[in-house]
Formats: sequence, C-alpha cells, structure tokens
Amino acid sequence: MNNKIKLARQSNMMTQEELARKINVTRQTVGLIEKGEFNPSLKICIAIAKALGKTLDELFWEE
Amino acid sequence: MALKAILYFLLSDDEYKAKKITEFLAESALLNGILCFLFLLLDRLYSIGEFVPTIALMITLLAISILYVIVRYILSGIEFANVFTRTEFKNERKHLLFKAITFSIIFGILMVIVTGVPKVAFDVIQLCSVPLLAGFLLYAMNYVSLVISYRKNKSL
Repeated sequence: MNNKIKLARQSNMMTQEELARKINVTRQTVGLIEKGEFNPSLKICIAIAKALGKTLDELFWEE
Repeated sequence: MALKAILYFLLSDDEYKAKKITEFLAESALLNGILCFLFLLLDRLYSIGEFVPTIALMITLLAISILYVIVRYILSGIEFANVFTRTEFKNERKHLLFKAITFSIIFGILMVIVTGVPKVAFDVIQLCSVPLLAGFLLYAMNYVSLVISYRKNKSL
C-alpha cells in the first residue's frame, strides 16, 4: 500500500506537501501513510485516490 | 453533547493528529480511573482521607491528567507536522522564541495589573522572575516538541 501511493504521487510529479494540501492533512500524515505507519480513514483514502487520479483498487488493493 | 463539542474543540483537523490526541485523552482518563481506585483502596486500608484533604487529592488527580496529555503530546512529535527542512526548523525556532518573549511580556503586564506596581525590591525581582520563568518553560516545552517533530519528520 505504502509504495503504491508514493509511486503514484511521484508519477504525478507531486510533492508530499502538495498532496497534503490537496487532501487537507499535514505533510507528516502523508509521510506516515506512505510509510504504512498510519491507516487513514476511507474519507482520506478517497481524497488521495482523487488527488492522484487513481482508483481505490489501484492504490490500496493487495494482490 | 456538550462534552462532544469540547472534545472536537480539542482535536485537530488533521486525522492522524486527532487520532493521537484522542488516544492520549483516553489513556489519561484510564490513568485517572486507576489512580482514583488506588486512592479509594488506600483510604479503605490506611484511612489516608483523614490526613490528606479531598480537595488536594482532586487537584493532584486533575494535574496528573492534564500533565499526562501535555507530556505525551510533546513527546509524540506531532505538533510541528510541517517542519521537514533545516531552514523550516530554524524559522520555527525563531518564531517560538518570539512567542515566548511576547508571552513573558504579557504575563508581566498582567501581573502588574493584578498585584499592583511593585514597591519593594523583592516584589520587583518577583515581577521579573516569574514571567521570565514562565516564558522559559513555554519555550523549553515547545523546543523539545519541535526537535522531536523534526526528527520524526526527517525519517518520513
């Protein structure tokens, strides 16, 4: 899960700060989500998916 | 309903911060419950209520609960969630110093308003030392929080 968000963010040429601003959380929270140290709510997951132009499956589903 | 409103006032807009603060408040409530139970037990066994006034026990419990949340908040490194670079750290440190100085000055002015203009040397010393100490404590608390937050952020 962590790597998928980080990779999607990087492929969108977006910094942690920009993503944090878009989804209305702090940069620390984005870092923790990417590292897998914080499990966000569905509301934040949807906001991340929308901000990165991905579906929830693409970002969070584990094969 | 009112309690919920107070709780939402204490919580941050950021989800991670809000979750951590809720954890600290819950831990503090649990600690308070355990201490109440211990005091009751001690009172039953050794009648400590005869030696320690109830009001002193209540103030102690309240102080422990508040201090617990403050210390956990400072040590968790969640306060300065957007300080990631050395420059941001230095800027925030300067800002903290300015805040502490402003706090000391306002504290001093309020002391003069409440206690009156000092007439003897001891009062002047007290008027200067109490706000300075309060300002220093505020700065020290915020600085520790800043350092821990910065270290945590650097690892992300």
